[in-house]
Amino acid sequence: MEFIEKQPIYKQIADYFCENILLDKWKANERIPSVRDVAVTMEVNPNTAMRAFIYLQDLGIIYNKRGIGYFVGEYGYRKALELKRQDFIEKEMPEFFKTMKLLNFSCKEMEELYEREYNKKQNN
Amino acid sequence: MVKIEDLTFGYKRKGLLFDNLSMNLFPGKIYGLFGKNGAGKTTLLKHIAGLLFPKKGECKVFEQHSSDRKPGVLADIFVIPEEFELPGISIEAFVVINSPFFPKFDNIQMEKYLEEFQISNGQKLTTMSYGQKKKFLIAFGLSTNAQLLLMDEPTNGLDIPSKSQFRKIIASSANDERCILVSTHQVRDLGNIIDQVTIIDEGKIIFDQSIEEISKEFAFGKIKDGEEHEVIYSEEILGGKAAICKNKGMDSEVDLELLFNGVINNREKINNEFKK
Amino acid sequence: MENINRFSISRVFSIIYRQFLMSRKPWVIGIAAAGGFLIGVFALQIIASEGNFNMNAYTAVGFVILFLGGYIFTSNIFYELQSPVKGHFYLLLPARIEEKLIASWLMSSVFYLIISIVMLFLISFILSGVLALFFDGRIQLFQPFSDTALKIAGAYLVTQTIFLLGSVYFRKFNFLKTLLAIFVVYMIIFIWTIIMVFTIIRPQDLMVTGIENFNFQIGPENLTAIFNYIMGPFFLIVSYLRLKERQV
Repeated sequence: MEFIEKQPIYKQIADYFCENILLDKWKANERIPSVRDVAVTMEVNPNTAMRAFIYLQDLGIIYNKRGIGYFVGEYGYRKALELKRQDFIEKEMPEFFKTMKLLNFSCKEMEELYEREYNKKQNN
Repeated sequence: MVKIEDLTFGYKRKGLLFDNLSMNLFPGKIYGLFGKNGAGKTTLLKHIAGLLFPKKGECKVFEQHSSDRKPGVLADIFVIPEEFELPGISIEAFVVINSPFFPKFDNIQMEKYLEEFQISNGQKLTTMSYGQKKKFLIAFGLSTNAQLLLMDEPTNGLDIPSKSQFRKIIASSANDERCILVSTHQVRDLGNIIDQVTIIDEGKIIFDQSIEEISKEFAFGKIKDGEEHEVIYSEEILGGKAAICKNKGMDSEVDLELLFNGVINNREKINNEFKK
Repeated sequence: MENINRFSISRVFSIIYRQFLMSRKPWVIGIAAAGGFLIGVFALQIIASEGNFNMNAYTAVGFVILFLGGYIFTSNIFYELQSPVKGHFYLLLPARIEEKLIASWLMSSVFYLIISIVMLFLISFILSGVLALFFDGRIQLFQPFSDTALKIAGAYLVTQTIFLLGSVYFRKFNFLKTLLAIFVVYMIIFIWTIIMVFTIIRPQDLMVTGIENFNFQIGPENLTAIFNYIMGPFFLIVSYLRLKERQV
C-alpha cells in the first residue's frame, strides 16, 4: 500500500530549525528563539512548539541552558545534516526515483541536469 | 477547572439537547470544541459560563456551581460570544467602566493587543466593523487575565490577516494556568493552535482526546491504490482516498476534518483504538 | 478569592458609573424634554393669566411628570437584559446579584428622585425669575420638603419597586407590560372582593341592618401604612430572586 502523509507540525518546525542551521543562519552555540516566540510566529500551540525543541534536543542538535534558553549545539550543523540526509533518503528519494523511472530518466541524464542547474546557480 | 456531570438540558418544546453530558476541562490546555450545526456548542458554553442552568446534573467551574454567578468565579471567566453588541461609547470609556470588575485586568496588555490587532484608540465601538469589534472584545477578554476563556466561533468575521493575528495572540497568551475553549466549525483556522479535540454530537461528548494521543494512535494520509490495510476511516478524494490508519511508526499531521468526519460516522471504531 | 465574593459598596458605585456612562444620552434627552415641557407650559400659563404663577398646578403637573418619567425610567433600568446579545455581558459582569439590584434600585429611586426634585425647584426658580422681571410678581418656589412633597416622594419610592420588578421580569415592552400586570392584579382583587362581599357579608343582610352597623376591626389607615412598608421590600426581594434566576 502506498501511503502519503504530511509531516506532523512539530517535525515541520524541526525541519525549519535544521534548515536555518544548514543555511548557517543559526551558528553553533548561538541562541535560538524561545518556545513562545516560535509558537507565536508559527501560529501553533506552545506545547507543539515545545515538542519540536525536545525532539531536536534529544538528537543533540540544540541544547538548553536552564533559565536562559535554547542554543545550537556544538556539532549542531553536522547532526542536522545527518538528520536531513537520512530524511531525504527515506522520504523524498523513493518518490523521486519512482518518478524518474516512470518518466524514463537515466542516472546519467539526471547527472547532466543536476550539473546544469548547479552551474546556473553558480554563475548567477 | 471545569467539571460537568450528567448535564441534561433542553430548550422548551424542542426535546433534549444534552442527555447526561459529562466533560472536564483542565488548565494549561487549548480545547477545540467541534460539532455539527445545532449540536449545542453555544449552549454548552452558556452552561459553563452560568448563563443557562442545567435541568439535571451539574456544571462546576473552580469547584463552584456556575449558575451561582459568584463574582470570584465570574472575574476568572471571559466569554467571547459569536453574537454580541457593544455600547455606543469609546474604546477607552469601555475599558474604564468595565475593567474595575476584573481585579487582574492589565491596561498595558490591553494596549499591546490593540496595537497587534491594529485597532486605534479613540474610536467609538458602534462605528467599528464586526471584525474590529470582535478583535476588541478578544483583546479585552485576554487582558482581564481570566483563567477560563470561552470563545464561540472567534474567527468568524475576521479577515485573513486578522485570523493570523488571532492565532498569534492565542499562542502567546496560552499558559499553564489558563484554559481556553474554542468552539468552531472552521477547523482550518485553528487546527494547529488547539491541543485537545472535543467533539459534541447527539447530546453527548463523543470524542475527547489530545492531539498528541491522536497522532500517536493514528496516521493521516492519502492512499493511492485501493488496497485496504488497517484503514480505520477513509473517504474519497481526488486521486485516491484520504484515510485514517493505525500509526505504525509513520508520524503525520493530524487532519482534523477527516478525524471529525470519522468520529461522526463511526465513533465506536475510533474510540476503541484509544481503549487498548 | 474570598474577598472578591463579599458585598462591596465600591462595586455598587462602579455599576452605577458604568450604567450612567453607557446610557447618559437618553438620560439627558429625557431630563431636557421634561424640563422643557414644564417651562413651556407654565411660561404660557403665566402669560395667559397675566403674571399669576399657579404654584399648585405646577406642583401637580411636576409630580405627574416625575411619576410617569420615573416609571418609564425604572422599567428600562435593566435595559441590557432586554437584548440577549447585551444581556450575557451584564449577567457575567463580576459583581454580586445584590450589588446589581441595589445599583439599579438606587439609580431609579433615590438618585432619580433627588435629580427630579432639584429640577422642579430650579424650574420654579427660573419661572419666578421671569415673573419678577416682566410682571413684578411674587417669587414662588417649589417646596421640596413640604408635607405633600414628602408624601408623594414616599409614594414614588414604594410604587416604583413594582416597575423595578417589571424591568427584570419582562423581556420586552417592560413599561406597558408592567402597567397591564398591575391592571390585571387590580381586576383580580376587585372581582375577588365582590365575590367575598356577596358570599361572606351577604348584601341581603346589609339591606336589613344597614352598613353603619358594621364595625371593622382594622382601621383602613393602619392597613395602608403596613401595606406601604411591606410592599417596597417585597418587590425588591422578588426582583432579586428573578435576577438570580435570569438566564439568556
